[in-house]
Amino acid sequence: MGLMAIDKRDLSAFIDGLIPQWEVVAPVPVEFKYAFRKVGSFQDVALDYTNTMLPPKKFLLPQRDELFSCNPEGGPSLTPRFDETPRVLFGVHSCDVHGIWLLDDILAEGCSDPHYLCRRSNTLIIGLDCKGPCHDNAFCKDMGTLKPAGGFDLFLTDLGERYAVQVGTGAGTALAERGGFYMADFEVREEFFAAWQKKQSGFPNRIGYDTAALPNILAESYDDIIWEALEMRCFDCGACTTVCPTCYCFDVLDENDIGTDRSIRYRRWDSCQLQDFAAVAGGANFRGKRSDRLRHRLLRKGKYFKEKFGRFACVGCGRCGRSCLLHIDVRDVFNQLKG
Amino acid sequence: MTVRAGVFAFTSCEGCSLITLEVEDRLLEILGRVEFVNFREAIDDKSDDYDIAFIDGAITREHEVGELMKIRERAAILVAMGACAVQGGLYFLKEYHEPGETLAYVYGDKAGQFDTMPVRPVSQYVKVDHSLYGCPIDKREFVEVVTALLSGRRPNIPDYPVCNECRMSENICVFERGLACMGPVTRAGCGAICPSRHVGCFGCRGMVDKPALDQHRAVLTERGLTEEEITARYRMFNGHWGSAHEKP
Amino acid sequence: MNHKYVSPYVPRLAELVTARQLTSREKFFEVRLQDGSALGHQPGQFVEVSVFGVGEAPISVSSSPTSQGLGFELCVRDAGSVTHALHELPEGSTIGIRGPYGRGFPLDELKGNDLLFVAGGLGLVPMRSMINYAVDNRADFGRLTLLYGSRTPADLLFADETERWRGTPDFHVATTVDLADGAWTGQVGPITKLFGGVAINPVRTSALVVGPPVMFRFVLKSLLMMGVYESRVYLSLERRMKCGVGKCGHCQIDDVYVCQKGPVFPYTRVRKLPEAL
Repeated sequence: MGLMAIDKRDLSAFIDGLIPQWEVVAPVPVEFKYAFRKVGSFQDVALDYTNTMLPPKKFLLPQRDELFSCNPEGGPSLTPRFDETPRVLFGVHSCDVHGIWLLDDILAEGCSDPHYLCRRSNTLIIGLDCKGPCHDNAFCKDMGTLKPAGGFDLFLTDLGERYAVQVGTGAGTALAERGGFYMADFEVREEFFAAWQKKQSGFPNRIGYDTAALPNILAESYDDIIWEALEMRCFDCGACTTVCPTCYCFDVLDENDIGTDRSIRYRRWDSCQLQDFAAVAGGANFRGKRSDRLRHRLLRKGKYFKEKFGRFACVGCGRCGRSCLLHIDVRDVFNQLKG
Repeated sequence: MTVRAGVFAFTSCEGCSLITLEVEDRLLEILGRVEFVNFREAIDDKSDDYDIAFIDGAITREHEVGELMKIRERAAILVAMGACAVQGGLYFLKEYHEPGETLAYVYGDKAGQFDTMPVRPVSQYVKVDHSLYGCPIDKREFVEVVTALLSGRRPNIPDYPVCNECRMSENICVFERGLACMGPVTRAGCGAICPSRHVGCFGCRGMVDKPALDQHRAVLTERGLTEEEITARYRMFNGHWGSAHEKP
Repeated sequence: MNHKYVSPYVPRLAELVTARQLTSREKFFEVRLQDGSALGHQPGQFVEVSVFGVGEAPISVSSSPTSQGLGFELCVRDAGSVTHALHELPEGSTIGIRGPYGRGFPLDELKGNDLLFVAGGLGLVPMRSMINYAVDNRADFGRLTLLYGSRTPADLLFADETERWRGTPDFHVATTVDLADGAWTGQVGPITKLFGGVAINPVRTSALVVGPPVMFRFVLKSLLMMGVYESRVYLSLERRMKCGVGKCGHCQIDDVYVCQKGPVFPYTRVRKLPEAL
């Protein structure tokens, strides 16, 4: 869609103007790191933040997501739960926009997930371009996520005195009508193009080959010794999947209200890296080996989704590598597989 | 449905017993479903007719064994409650001293008036149906176990490391603060309470069923801990686990 | 609340019409949807069964859609929290049902063929839906053969029904147990021991295999040695299907969600999935 612009001095009024109507979520500093949190004012937002600890998926697919409540009296009667809070995710970097964009496809595919879709349809995403590589293990350029291609309503690129604003949806157009935005003229377009070129050259490639080859490389590495070697560095803690912008697997549980006999069925984040993820009630564990679990995760990231949706389920943010105590880094594994 | 329950304290500070009364907004609801019929810290009655027995404390004296076995016979469900009951708790540190040494240190010339024997968890002597982990136990987990048992389901107690909960909470990893942490091998469920307050996990909830010990050792060594320091960390709350598995 | 979203995670209510102890570990249930509708399943599909306040578990449907009853049938082993709670429920209780889910046996491809059913242990539960379907549509199929292996004679499921099948025209039934007791006069040993005693025409036989994971490799080998075409062997795979709708990830085998593409797979498909067997 179109390109617009907003002067920097007008951004504050724009965001603060959203707060009465929407729950505005944005990156805020947490000591020397950052996290997406609900903000009360534009002043709280860390515009020059680096990759947050958890990706913004937590506002679309919360860690605890109530599916329905059950009242046993006279029934029982079941009441589905949908979160319709109007929400704006502001300041989402391109890598994380890609993560959300992939979740959009995954959760709409086949039997769609209305709990996600309901939240998503009430959420507006205003992205913000990062200016340089945030961490030395980030490999967004290799994964093709340097610029957004979908999954955002507005996307801001810093041009000095103003932001270029890509408009991704009709909802984005409506947002831009709230004031402060204007159509990009020739000068803005020139600057926007220059900023993109500068960003491209400012990010290094960190995978030693064209990632188009990745699905094949992973297929050929199915029986590689590397998976067993990685076992020695894995705790089965699931930190890597927890911090991943595209991981969405969940467990389903019941919780009882002691006072009333009512219960709630909810889902919570699960991880294919936990020991019992593929175990059945009878006792068999179909992915009982740590090396099988590690391979499964990497194949999901670099092969399965690419083949199904045309996009990698890895955005190159590097969160998994940074959260792993023994430094199992997707980027390193991808590099080592090529040999 | 209501159930009759007893809370029994053996060698312990009885802090876990008190946690069962500290559930604030849920207490009245719990008391509506759970009738405490034997609970030294809370009531005067001492009934022997109960369905669920919560055992607080480690077993360190001869007479405790017999009492525990009697409780097991009477209770349909026995819950080991807290690090002392589950792992022997801090009392297990006694096992790293010469026999009698701790007794003499504590009681001086009156040491002969006290009997003591090797510290053992409750499971050493009787079948344990469910465990509530931690020093002290987590009150939400106590509510979860009670509601699960009343509803006829298995309590949802994690078998994955604290690291998972730390990442969920967006904590800054305490290793990044230069501290040591038992989180990578310790059973989650506490909501990573210590790392959330910038303190390394002590491992009070005991280890996950299959802890990655070698990997944990590698992390601690990489962060500069000596063998002695690593051993001390493991002994603090996991001495019994260690001796049972000949590690560390 | 009238909502524009309908959640696939919210079950339909159903009544536990009858509950009967089948063996020491298995119980048989007749279930009827509260709205009176038929389940509309295919043999080999599964449902997600909810015991409210306890949880949900995937269970194979054991009855054939051709069955005359008003509901459908489940046979459940007391193996986990949900199945244990199900065993404890009195008749008349309300449970939740989602599904049917997954792909069952490929009825169109099986039509006109001889069928060889190979069931190990609880594998007879989903197989029963297909066997009764074939018995009820007897003219659509050629020769029928059931090879059924169980741990002990006391674990044998549906003994009366097995006898009824034996009395059906051109239906050969053979059973074996791993551990015999004094009263057992039948075969003892693994299920593959039964293969020697069956006369099948391999070129017109479709083999359907359901059983514990350890059984598959040996059975597959026996079937292929007998000359059954690889393309006519179908397996039903057990996995932890938590959501049933291809989202939660628990049942995934390599890139395949068993709840979507299975649980019944042609062997030619499974052969390409290293994690399957």
